[in-house]
Amino acid sequence: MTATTHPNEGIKLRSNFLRGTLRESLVDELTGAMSPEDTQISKFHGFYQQDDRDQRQTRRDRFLEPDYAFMLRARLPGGVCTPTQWLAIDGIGRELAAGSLRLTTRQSFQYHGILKHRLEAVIRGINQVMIDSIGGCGDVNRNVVCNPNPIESSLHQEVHAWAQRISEHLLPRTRAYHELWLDGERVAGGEEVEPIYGPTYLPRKFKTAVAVPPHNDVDVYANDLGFIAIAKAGRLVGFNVVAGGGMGATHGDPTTFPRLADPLGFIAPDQTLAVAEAVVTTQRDFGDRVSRQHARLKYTIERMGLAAFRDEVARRAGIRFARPRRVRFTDQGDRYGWVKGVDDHWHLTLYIENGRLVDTPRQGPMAGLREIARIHHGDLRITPNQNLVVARVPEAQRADIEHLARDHGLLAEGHSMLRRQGIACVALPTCPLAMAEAERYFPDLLDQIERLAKRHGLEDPGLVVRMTGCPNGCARPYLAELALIGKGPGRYNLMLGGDGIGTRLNHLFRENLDEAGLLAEIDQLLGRYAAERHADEGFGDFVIRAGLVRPMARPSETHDA
Amino acid sequence: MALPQRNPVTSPFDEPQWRAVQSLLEDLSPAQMAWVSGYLAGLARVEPAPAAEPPAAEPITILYGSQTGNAKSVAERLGARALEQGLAASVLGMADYHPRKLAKERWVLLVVSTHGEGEPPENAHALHSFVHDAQAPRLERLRYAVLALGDSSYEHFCRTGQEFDQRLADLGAQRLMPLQCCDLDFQAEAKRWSDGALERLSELTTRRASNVVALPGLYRPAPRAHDRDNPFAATLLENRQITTADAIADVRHLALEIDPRAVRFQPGDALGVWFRNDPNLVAVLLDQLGLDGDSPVRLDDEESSLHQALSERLELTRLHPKTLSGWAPRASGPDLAELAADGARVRDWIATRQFIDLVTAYPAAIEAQDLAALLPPLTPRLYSIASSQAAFEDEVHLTVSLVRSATAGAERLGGATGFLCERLARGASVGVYVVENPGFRLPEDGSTPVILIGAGTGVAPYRAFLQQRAAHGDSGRNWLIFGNRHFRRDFLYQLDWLGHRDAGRLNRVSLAFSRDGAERRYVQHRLRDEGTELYRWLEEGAHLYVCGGTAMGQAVHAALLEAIAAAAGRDAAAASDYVDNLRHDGRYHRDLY
Repeated sequence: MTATTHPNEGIKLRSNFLRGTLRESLVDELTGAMSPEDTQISKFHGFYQQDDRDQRQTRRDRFLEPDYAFMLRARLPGGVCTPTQWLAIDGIGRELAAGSLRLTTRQSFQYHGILKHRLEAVIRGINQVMIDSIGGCGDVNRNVVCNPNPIESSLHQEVHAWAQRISEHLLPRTRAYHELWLDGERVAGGEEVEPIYGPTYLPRKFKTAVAVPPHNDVDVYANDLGFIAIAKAGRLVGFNVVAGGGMGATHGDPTTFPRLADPLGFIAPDQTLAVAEAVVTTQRDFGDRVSRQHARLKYTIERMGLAAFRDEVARRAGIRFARPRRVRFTDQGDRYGWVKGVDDHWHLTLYIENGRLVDTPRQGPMAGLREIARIHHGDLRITPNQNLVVARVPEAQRADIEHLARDHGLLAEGHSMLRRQGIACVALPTCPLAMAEAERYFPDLLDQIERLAKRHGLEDPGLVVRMTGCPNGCARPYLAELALIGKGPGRYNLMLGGDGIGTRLNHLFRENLDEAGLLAEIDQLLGRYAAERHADEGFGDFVIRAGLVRPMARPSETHDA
Repeated sequence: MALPQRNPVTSPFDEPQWRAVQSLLEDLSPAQMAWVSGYLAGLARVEPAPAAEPPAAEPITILYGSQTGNAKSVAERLGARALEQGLAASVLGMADYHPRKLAKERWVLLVVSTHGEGEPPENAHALHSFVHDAQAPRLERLRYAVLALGDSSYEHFCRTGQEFDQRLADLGAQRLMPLQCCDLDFQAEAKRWSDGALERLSELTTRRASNVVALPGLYRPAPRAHDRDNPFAATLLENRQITTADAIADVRHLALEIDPRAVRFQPGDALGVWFRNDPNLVAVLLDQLGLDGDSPVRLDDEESSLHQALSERLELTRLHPKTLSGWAPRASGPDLAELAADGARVRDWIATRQFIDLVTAYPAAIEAQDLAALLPPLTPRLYSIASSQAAFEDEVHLTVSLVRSATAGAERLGGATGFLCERLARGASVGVYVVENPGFRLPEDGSTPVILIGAGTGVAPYRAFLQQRAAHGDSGRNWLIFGNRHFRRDFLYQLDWLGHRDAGRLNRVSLAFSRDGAERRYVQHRLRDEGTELYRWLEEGAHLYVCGGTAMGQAVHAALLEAIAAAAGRDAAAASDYVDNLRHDGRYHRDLY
């Protein structure tokens, strides 16, 4: 460790394999917060300290500290859970986490508003149904996402099993999580080691996705590490491996940028874990530990060069990459409604706005999912678009499930394509990084866009719109056909030119617009799109053909208007 | 008291002597100072010693048991007058008096208030239990009189005074005068009783030329000190809510500007606040009763308009049982008469209602003067001071919970809290005076550990304590045990406590938020949980403070006994002795209301 390394590196090193002083922070009654160092360590245990930013000043005036609460994100590889697990997840949300939960863009669920003294109960609660939150956040491999493809059930099973194995293989080995939250025992003897991570873990977060073409709902190119399943006659034959994708950027800093993952090559299934581990350890050893803004794998690859990086990974994994197979993606959204799988089971994709489930006294999505989980015997799959699939429903139960879904407003019917495909991040008031509104404002924005589209005779333009409160990219905005990225209160950068299937980054079109400016620009764009588009031409493709934005030559061009 | 600087040229003292004089005088009240100056003047005159001693004047002891300072002020005034008349009177707080001396006394006057649910005030505890003990000595020599202060809206009106009066008689002592009970408007009756007592003592005791010289003007030093009858006009600087909008209680932090030369207080002291009734309430009342606000009324031989009397002189928001029983015959219908006849129901009824509710529920006609006579006089309210002059010399901070109820359908605000929190504008002035609370002071030695137990606004004096300890750089450890309803909504002064802890001053904190968990937990539960640590602190000499409601004080007391018994491995009687010793050593301080 040199003097110039980022302070977080010292915190990790001193934490004694992620213990820190969490225990002391938890029993400190005087504050709802953790000690500053523990707020870094807690992320590895799956939770983050947040506070209601709307309340900060008022509370300070009242001699009260900020309204601290915690966001806890579970690990749920591939987003699959059983109805029994769902009922437990739901109950904990209602009792211990401000009566709500959220489905995330990484196929997991997260709770907001957990008070410090309830963290232990939440973690113990999910543990009772065999779910943990290890690495929900922090500088380790995060929840592994995987296409929930319900149709090809045996292929999904096979691929999903790999997602789980990758997740398990890349889990931290420290017993800190169990010690602190579960059995409380410190196992005697033996120095603890992290064979993959070492005592300072990774320089930054690390995201892994598994895609099953032709669906790119996981936005595989937005991940540090991606596995694209190659199947033959419904059986998995291997993966195309891609690496170095990532969304985050800093406004005005051209050394930071969103980036699509590069192909490394094709591997056989039994090489998967070795390759995953090799990519992780290469990033561990070559990643930037001085500047967290440049610590993601994408910058490591930019610095090393793709060929050198690929060679290093191959050497460490003891394999050779074959030439990547040809793949074709057709979409990045979810397919709503019923579909029938090859095994004759039915699968219903529900629509959940912003993945947000709130316990309301009346019927609502949260209650609806609870009712469904009570009668359902298959499984439930959270999608990377924050929706939920009720999977493996026998013909005989279709009507009952559909009835419940309709009653509780869980069906996509009646929602426009625009709405079904949109994603917004949480942003204000909870997220400490947010510079502008996102989730709270998004439904209004979509109303406005729909109104404008109608004016130009576009009944339901199915463009992919995403919105984030800051440039870090939780809703993967840089892959949308149209994106708004928060710049300051009420101000956004307008991005255009994604391809609607998640394989092309968009580009800055207008900077720092207020609401009126945004709507004027969108109005004009939709007008031109309505008048000039070719048949079947998507909005993102149109703006590029029309020369409104250029396709990007280098990632750092994101910032250029 | 602010003492003048020593002038090195003209002063008869050298520096060490002057420091000694200063330290002696520092904590004296104006009346004590006046007495000392007379005493010293007398000493200086007694030379050379006369050949034959005049017959010794018989000592007269005036004891007060006081919570809010009223009994103390009556006793001090009485003592000063006795001295003026050449009686050898000394005035003592009951806690400063050695109970066994009682058996040797001949002349004792007691002025004592009753507290909460018929309990003796904090500083009367030891004497009260001494005389009530089965082993109490016979007091055949003793002649005494008791002045009892109380509030007749409580069930056990003047009970402590009655108990002293009866018990001393049972022990063989003789009354000089019958027991006198006084209600909230005690001034006139207390004066009459004092006159009578002085007259009786002048007749019966040996008097002599006093060896204390009465120095004219010194009993009323000019400018006159600010007290209940001569309040200081403080200016409101700040009024902010310190609980969240969704909290059950609306608690305000008020900062008042004072002149530090005119108003001095110590952490633990209270501030008496004169308030004005809500002008809307007065208007509604006049309207409902069909009375003209300009009608003249007489109050204590002073004439004023009815409007002014209702605004500034008469109690409108605390409904008194006497008001209810006086109203009953005027109102038609049997309901009210029936209610008025049942004491328990009356207390229940008035607990959540104001005079306007009575008038609305049972309309009746009344003349202006009769109304003025029916309503009790407005009395100032006391609030524990939440700041130290070592930190804010020219400010007084108060922590006030706005009383707001809607029992009778309409929203009613508390008289004083409504005035302070809702009607007093920033920059406007309010009459205040300091009420000393000598039984609730920080230990003199700054290295002594303290345990501070408070619930709700009972935490106010501890803010003052810690400000003072911070300003003085005291090294003593501090342990705060605080309870309220919700951590996020009403953790009063949380940022202050965090700041003190970051500065290494708040060494331990135990909290109980009753509505946060499934079961209701209060400070007394924390005390039981942490009995071992509590006992360790006490064994290390810690002082224990309890501030809050009476019920909380009782619960804490019970928990304290249990915790000590458990931690020390002793029985209940031994734990009780232990706590009695704490009290006796001046290490168990309570401020309950």
